This record gives sequence, structure tokens and C-alpha cells, in this order.
Amino acid sequence: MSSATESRADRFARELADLKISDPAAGHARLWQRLGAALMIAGIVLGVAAYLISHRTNSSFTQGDAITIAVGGVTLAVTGSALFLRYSLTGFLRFWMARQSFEMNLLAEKVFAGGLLSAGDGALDASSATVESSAPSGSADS
Amino acid sequence: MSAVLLELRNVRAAYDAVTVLHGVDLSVRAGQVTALLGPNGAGKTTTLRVAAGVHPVAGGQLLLAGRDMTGARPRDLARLGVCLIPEGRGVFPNLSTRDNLRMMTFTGRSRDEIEEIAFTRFPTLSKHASRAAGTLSGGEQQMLALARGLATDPALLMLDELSMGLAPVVVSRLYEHVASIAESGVAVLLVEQFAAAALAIADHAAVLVRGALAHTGRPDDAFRASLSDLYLGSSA
Repeated sequence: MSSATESRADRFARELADLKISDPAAGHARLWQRLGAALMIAGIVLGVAAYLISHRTNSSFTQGDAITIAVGGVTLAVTGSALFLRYSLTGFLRFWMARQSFEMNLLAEKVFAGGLLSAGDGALDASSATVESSAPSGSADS
Repeated sequence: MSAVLLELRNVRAAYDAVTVLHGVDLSVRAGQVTALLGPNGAGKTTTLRVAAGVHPVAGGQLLLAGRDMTGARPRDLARLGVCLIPEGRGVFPNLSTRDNLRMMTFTGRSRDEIEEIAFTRFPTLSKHASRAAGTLSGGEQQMLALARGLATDPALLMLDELSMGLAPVVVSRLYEHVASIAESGVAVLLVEQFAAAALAIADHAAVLVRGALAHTGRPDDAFRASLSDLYLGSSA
């Protein structure tokens, strides 16, 4: 628990002790991302290979094997895609959400500053125009 | 003696196959200013990036308040109070001063609270609150960067080349602010090429040469005297 006399350094040490770090291993996320990409490619390769195997034979047993390989390939590709998306998009989405949150706050303040709540329909129209004009047309700071 | 908040133990770091830090040992205490000096390309900025979790550690340990945080995500470290102000200030040039400060509300502090922190410490910024940050002078931009850093309530503040492109009088004014921030209990790690200004406020200093610590100690006259040899390599 924090106390009134707790220094910033003490609080820092306490919060560090409380911090739950998912995995401090360096490159953890990148490893999963690469694994996802590898699985995705392996799945596609297996699917294509299974098609070629089944296409070049009349044996229903071999074709059955090819179907099994193809289903395995699809499973690998789906799993790999999920892993890849999970770890590659997380960082981007986090920033995007922070940016959206900031823009929304800004927009809300502009709307309220325009007296939306206190005025009638005319003010509503005016505030709609404000919303349109202040909508982000691209990242100003990127 | 105050607590050690940041400790690098035998830290090595590399860019692809090129190793730039060869076993750096460094500690930064709460309420003190530690200056990390060295010539261009010595690995100073990489050391800061490693300490902030932005650059991966190739070997060794990064400890914060005694806990091994090697490989921790930068956002976890930032949330705890590790703040890096990068070279080039890191402000949003197209946003106004006020909007730049407002961006720091992600920390949970209100806009008013952040503006109070910023404008109390740097009254100049309040005069330019509506101006685009890119149109401020270099010193004012650096003040804005410091204010944004302070808005995160840092326990460890790391500054990369604060003096870059600024007039000496502006630099010395900024360093006064840095000293005052450290007095409030914040651990400050300064990276500088130009030693004189940094040593004027530093409690502890270290010189990094070619990715290894060449000298550490209190910034006294003997330390200053050894600097030119270390920078120019005549004692190597």
C-alpha cells in the first residue's frame, strides 16, 4: 500500500514488485510472429503439395492421404495466420486506439465548446459541421 | 545513500552483427544526476535505448530497483516511470504546445494537471500554448519535451543530447531545470557529447568509449582532466 510519505523511488520499487510481466524473454513477440509466418507458409505449401499428389494419381487411398495432408495444411495455415496477426497487429492497434481516443476526446471538447447541449436543432447542424471539419484526414504527426 | 533505481550489469547490445556495447556496468541513483559522456558513436544512445527497453539486450542484465527486467517490454517500463526523452526532442511538430501536452493524458492525469506541471515549471510554454510545437525555438521545444516527460511522473528520467543545437545560455538554463528535477527525487541519466554543461550538475559521471566504460567517478577536477585523453584516445 502507498503512504503519504512514500518517495517516488519507493513507489517505483513497490510497483516493480507488483508488476506482472508476461514474459521478459527478449524477442518473445517476434519469435511468435515468425513462428506464425512459418506455419502459414508451411500450411499453404502442404495444401498445394496435397493438390498435386491427388491430381497425379487415380488411387483413392493416395487421394485420401492427400486430403488428410491438405486438411492439416489448412489447419496449420489458419493457426499460423492467427498467431501472425495477433503479434504483428497488436502494436499497431494499440497506437491506433490511443490516437482514436485522443481524437475522440478532442472532438467531444470541440462539440461541447460549441454549445451543442444548450442550443436547438440549428446548433446540432452547426456541430455536425464541426464534427465533419475536425475529423482526422490523416495523422497530423506521423 | 539513495536507492539505485537503474543498474546495467555487463550489458552487451548489437545492431545486427555489429556489437556496439561490450559489457557496460552503470548504476543510477534516485535523486541524483548521472552523466554518461563520450565521443560520437561510443554507444551512449544505445545504452539509453537498452535502459528504456527499446533496444534488446544481447547479454548481461538490466535491473530496476534491484529487479531483473531484462527483456521487459518498453510499455511496461514506461508505465512504471521510466521515461526516455530522445535526441531531437520527440515533440509533435504539427500539434500545438497545448495539444502536445494533452497527448500525455494517456498517463491518467487530467489535462489541467499536466498543464499545471508544465506551465509552472516552464512559464514560457504558457505564452506559446497555441503555437505549433514545430515553430517554437529549440530551447522551448526541449522545455516542451521535458514537460511531456514530467507529465508521466517519472522515477527515472533519461535525456539524450539535451544540448543539441542550442545556445550555451539556453543549455545552462535547461540543466538548471534538470538539476531541480533530480532534487525532487527523480533519478536522472544524461547522455551528452559536450561534457562541461553536464558535469556542472552531475553527481556521478561515466565515460563511454567504443562501447565500453573507460572511466567512472565523481565529476571532480581529476575527472575533468582525464576527459580529453579519453575523448581523443591518447591514453589508450
